[in-house]
Amino acid sequence: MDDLKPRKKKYAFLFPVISAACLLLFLAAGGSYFTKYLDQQIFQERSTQLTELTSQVRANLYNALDAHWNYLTAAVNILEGRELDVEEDVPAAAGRLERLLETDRYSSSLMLLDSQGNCWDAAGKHGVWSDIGRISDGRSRYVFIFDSEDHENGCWAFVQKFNAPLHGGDTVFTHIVLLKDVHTLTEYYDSSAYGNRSETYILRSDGTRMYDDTEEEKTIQAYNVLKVLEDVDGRDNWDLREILEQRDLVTADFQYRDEDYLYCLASLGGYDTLLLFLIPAEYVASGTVNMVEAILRMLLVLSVFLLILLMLVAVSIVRQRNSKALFRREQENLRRQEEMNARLEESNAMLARSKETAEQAFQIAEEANRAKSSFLSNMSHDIRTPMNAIVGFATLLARDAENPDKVREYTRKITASSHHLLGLINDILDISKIEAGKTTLNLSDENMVDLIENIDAIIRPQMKEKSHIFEVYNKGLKHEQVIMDKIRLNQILLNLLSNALKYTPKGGHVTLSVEELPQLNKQLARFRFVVSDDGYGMSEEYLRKLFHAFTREEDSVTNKIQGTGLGMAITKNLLDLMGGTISVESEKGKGTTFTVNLELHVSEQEIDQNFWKNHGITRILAVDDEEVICQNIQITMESTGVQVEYALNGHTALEMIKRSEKEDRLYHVILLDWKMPGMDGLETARRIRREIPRDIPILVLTSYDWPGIEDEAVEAGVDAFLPKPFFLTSFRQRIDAMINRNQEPEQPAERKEEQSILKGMHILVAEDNEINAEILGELLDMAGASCDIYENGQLAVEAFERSVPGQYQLVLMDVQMPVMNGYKATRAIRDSGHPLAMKILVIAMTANAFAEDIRDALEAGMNAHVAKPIDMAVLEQTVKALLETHGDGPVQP
Amino acid sequence: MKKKARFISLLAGVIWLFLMSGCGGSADGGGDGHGPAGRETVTVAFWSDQLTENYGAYLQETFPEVDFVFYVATNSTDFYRFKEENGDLPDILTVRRFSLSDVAAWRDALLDLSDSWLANQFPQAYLRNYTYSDGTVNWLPACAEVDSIIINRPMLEEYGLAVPEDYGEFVETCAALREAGVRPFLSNFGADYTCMEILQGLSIPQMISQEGREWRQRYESGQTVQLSEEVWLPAFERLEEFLAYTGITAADLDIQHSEVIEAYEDGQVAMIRGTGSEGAIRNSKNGESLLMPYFGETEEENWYLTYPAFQAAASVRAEESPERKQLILDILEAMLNGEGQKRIASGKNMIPYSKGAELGLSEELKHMRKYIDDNKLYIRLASSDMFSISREVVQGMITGKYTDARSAFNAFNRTMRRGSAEPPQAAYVDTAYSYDFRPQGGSQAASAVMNSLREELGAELLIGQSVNTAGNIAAGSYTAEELRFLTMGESVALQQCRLTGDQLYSYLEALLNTPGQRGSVMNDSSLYVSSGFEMEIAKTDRGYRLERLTASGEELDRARSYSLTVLGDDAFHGKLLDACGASGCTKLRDAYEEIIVNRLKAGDQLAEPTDYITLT
Repeated sequence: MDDLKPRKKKYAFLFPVISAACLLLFLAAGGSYFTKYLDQQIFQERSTQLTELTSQVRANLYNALDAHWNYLTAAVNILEGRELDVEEDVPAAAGRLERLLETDRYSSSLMLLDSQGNCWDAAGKHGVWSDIGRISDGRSRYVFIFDSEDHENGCWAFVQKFNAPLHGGDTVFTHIVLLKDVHTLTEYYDSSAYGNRSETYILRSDGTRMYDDTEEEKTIQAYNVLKVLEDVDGRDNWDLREILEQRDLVTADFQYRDEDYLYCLASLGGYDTLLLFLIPAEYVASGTVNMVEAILRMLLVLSVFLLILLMLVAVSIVRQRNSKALFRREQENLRRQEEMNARLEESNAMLARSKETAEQAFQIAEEANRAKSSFLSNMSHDIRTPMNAIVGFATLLARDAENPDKVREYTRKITASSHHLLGLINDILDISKIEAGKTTLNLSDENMVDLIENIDAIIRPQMKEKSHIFEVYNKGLKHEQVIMDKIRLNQILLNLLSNALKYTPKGGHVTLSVEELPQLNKQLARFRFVVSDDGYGMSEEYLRKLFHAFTREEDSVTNKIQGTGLGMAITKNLLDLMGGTISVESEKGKGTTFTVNLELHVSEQEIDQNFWKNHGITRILAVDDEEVICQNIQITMESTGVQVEYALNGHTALEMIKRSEKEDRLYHVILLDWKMPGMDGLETARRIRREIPRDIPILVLTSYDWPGIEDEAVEAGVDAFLPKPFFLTSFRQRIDAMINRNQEPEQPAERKEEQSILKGMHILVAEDNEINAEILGELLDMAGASCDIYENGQLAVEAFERSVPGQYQLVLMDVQMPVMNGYKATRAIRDSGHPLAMKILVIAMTANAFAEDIRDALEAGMNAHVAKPIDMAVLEQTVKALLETHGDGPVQP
Repeated sequence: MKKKARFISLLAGVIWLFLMSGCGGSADGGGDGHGPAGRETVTVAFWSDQLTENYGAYLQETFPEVDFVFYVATNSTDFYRFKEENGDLPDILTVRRFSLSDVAAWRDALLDLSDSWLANQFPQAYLRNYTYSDGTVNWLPACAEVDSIIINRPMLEEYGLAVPEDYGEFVETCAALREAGVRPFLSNFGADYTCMEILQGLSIPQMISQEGREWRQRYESGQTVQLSEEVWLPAFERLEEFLAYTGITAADLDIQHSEVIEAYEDGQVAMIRGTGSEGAIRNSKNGESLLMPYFGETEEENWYLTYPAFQAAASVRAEESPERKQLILDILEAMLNGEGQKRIASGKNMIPYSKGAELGLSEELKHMRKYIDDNKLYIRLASSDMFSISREVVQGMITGKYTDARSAFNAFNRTMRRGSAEPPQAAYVDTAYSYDFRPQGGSQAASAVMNSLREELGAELLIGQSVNTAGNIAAGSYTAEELRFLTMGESVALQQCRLTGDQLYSYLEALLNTPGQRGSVMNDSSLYVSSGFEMEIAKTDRGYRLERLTASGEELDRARSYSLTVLGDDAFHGKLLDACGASGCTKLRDAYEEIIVNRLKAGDQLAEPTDYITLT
């Protein structure tokens, strides 16, 4: 809009200019036309006047000339037939004739010409007539004006040739001439009209002057006057003689020596003579012209008045416009001012808000400070509590060393307090790291089922300890292989489950539901994790600051529960980092449900889509009293091409199997729920084995410990156990294991809990701290492993290089050591020429427990990372996981 | 006074226009009229070298801002027709022999003067003779030359004779003189104009009669090409008588005009045909000479024969700009006004045509006054045919070819009826030469002619005035008559003498700085042309100064004797040669015009021009 404003202004400026130009143009064109019209009219008027005058003059001249001819004819009649006896009689005869004709009265005289051209008159004989040549073309009559010495201004000559020459003695007279002074004839052709400004020219028909009045300064000085008139600019091929042949009178105007003239040219037919009447135009019809000029002046005055009026109007309009423009500008200024005020108010409001925000921030900061103080107080309390237990029980241990029961009791409590203290420290470190923005995700291609199963394996025993019913549900999980930070997601879900575990009274119900939502993007799989419990629940007030760090609901129940108040803050921050969301629904006394939504990139790792087809599995039967589970299995198996039919109880299942056998629509695998009302899983398995001759693979789906029921199940004819919830990966692994009978199906970790994975291993340890080394040595010894401990990396590397292949099955590598740190030492090991340099398992064992520490360790060539203080369970779990993934790794003892 | 003021103001206007417009151009007749230094160039062709005496110098002095290019034209309107056909008309033309019918065919090449104030300065009685039926006027006359019979009165008295006053007395006088052994009358009957003028002059009353006038008008307007028997047969009869009683014989046909003058001056002849100025000259030399009219039967029938000293016209190129036209009109006005007339010949005994010009009759010719007052001045009938046929017939009468007036009259008419056949080609000129004067080299046309003349004469050194070459020389075919248009054909003679190098220096120095003579240098374009040697000349405020003479680049030996041939007025050059001590001066009988015509007719070309002059 800003751009349009100046344009508008321009147009606004142009309009009056164009209007004014149009008006001026109109006035100029109109004026020009009007002037031209007036000129034409004036010319017409002048022409008419001049033509009338000239016609009149010509008529006068005609009359005069005719009269003179009549006069001369009379003279000729008198003379002709007379014989002049002697020459001397001629002057006398001429004198008599003059007297008879009263020539004096008419200012004329008579003259006779003899054959030699001599002139004879009353005074006697004179010389040869200078113009004798002009009357020698054979005609009988001539009239012209000639230069006469006797007549100052020339003389009209009317010449009549005698029909028969007169003889006077020896002299022969051929012509009689009537001479008339030019001035005596002037009255006939001159006009006193126009203030004697007019000029009369007597011309021959060829345009040349008939006589020249030397005393009179004529406008046209040229000999050929007609040619001057014809040569006027703007009149090409203007042939006046030709025009005169068509009409005997021509009136025209012309400009000569910067003056406008009018002339009227009239032909005197029969006399070879033209009469030209010339006058400066201004003197012709001057009255009319004056009147026209007066009108013009009036019109001019009117026009000027009109123009002034128009100008005033224009000025008024312009002023009005200016006023409007001024008003608009003022309005605009006002609007801007208002805008400014609004902005200022907004700014003030913003300032107020900022102030409020600042105050809030200050309050928050104060609150945070208070929270921190409170936390520090709590932490102090929390740290002191386990420390108090440790110190106290250590003291009691010393006192009751002799009492083995007391010793075990105290040791168990010291251990528990130590674990709590460790967890507390880890959380503090975690949250401080997250808040410092130094936490980074360690993304890798991972299997979601593995994660869930791992969590299940960790949490389920604890749930069991608190007599909680713990259930895991899979809802339509299609993409099991995804890119994720498995440790962090594990931490998130464990945090949520730990809370559910802790804040649910004994015998409660905790569920973990893993659901894959419909994809919005082909590359991203959308997961929803829901952790739900029927525990204590949380107040609404606390819910608002649930994810704030250092907060913990204070009440009589929860105060008894150990907690750092950091877990949910860590969870929220980690989810933010992953681009996920977390929400919570809770009601005091009814329980809490945490919902985590997370989008993870689908792995590009190919899954053998032909697995089922290759193993001849195209139809399976799922048997569960919960239809949702059956349908879930159907959904999960959709992409595999395997048709899933289901039955909601054992009887139906049995019937379906029988019918399929008959119809030869064989089920290739049967999945049985363990717990079903009526005929349970085992019973159903037994009936199948008993009533169906074909050995159909039967897998039992159960959330219960497989070892507790394994024997009975095997006996019932079950081929394998498949933990709930149903995951495709687990199912495929089990099927694969069953088909390849040489490999036992993997057992849950808990199954081998009693026998440490480390048992019998000889381990190379690099640890510079003497106490830690001693503790580690004792712990490994407790796990049935032996070790060689070296105080720096260099020594450890040398020891490895010296070792024979298989001498060490594992290397536990401290990181921060003198001489050579753990990273360098690991690289040295990997780079050494030892046959197992690349295969020996190296586990970092360091107090540097952050993700980046783990990453650095892995980058240095280590296989895994275990944080100090050493938790043997974690170590064993780690070693076990490594052994599973590195089958060709360490040499088994 | 008013006119003078107007003239001065016009002149000032023209000068101002020149200065403002920065004009310039070439000097040839067909050029654009602009000189190299912003000056106007105007080419003027003189009808005779008599105009080099005072007239050319007068024009140059009157118009100092104009570069005039002068040359002497053959005295014939045919010359200008030839020039017009070659696109080479001079800016201003002058000719003595004139008839309106002779120039009508190429009248469009000339400026119409009828719409100018200049034409209006002439009495209409005269102007009518120059006005076409449509009112156009191209030519205007200068003053009238009187051409009649010069009588040596003391010589008549010596023989006891009175000056005759009518035809009868004239016949008696002639008879008495013949009886006394003196030739009563002599003229150069070899010249066409003499034949024509004496034929007409002896019968002026016939010519001026009603019949004569009416016939003349019919003839001049082209209504007839035959002589009227009523008018002309008596004229031939009168001539027949005249030839008889004056004793004119065929031997007289070779006599040149100068020889006639010499015979008159020597007292060998009592009466000759001559002009008013010649009469004045004779009067001063021989005592009381009278210019008497052609005699009629009675004194009242005596008439003087006259003709305009020359007619002047301008090329229509003057129309190229108003300024140029004004300049040309101004120059024409200066040529034809009283001041100009004074410079024609001696300026005396001329009868002015233009209004306001004063009649300047010399004391000894005062008796002419009454003839002038009675208008007894017959203007000759001067068509080209009249000239040529009159010569042919009159000479035939003298030689006896025509035994009587009737046969002569018939012959005249036959010749007039025959008309003129297409003349054959007589020569072909390969190379065109410009008449332009170049300060470094001179005029190529003039040099080519002078070198040719020297070659033909076998002369060692030759000098002649450039104006005697009639302007540019065009390449192409020439008839015999047209070959004569290359040179000025009359009045100039050839003479040879011996003189040393020193004397040559003196002669040339005098030649450059002697004004008022027939052959005087008027300006650059009229400088002399040397052949066989070169001149270095410096231009000074006073005129020209001879610096150095060389021959083929080598300085001329001042002590050595050279043979010099001079082309020019023999009286003028004779005086100068005598004054410088030249010896053995002899007049050559060869005619300049004939030498050049014959060379070309023989198939030779003009000699190569040389750079004969360096003007600084």
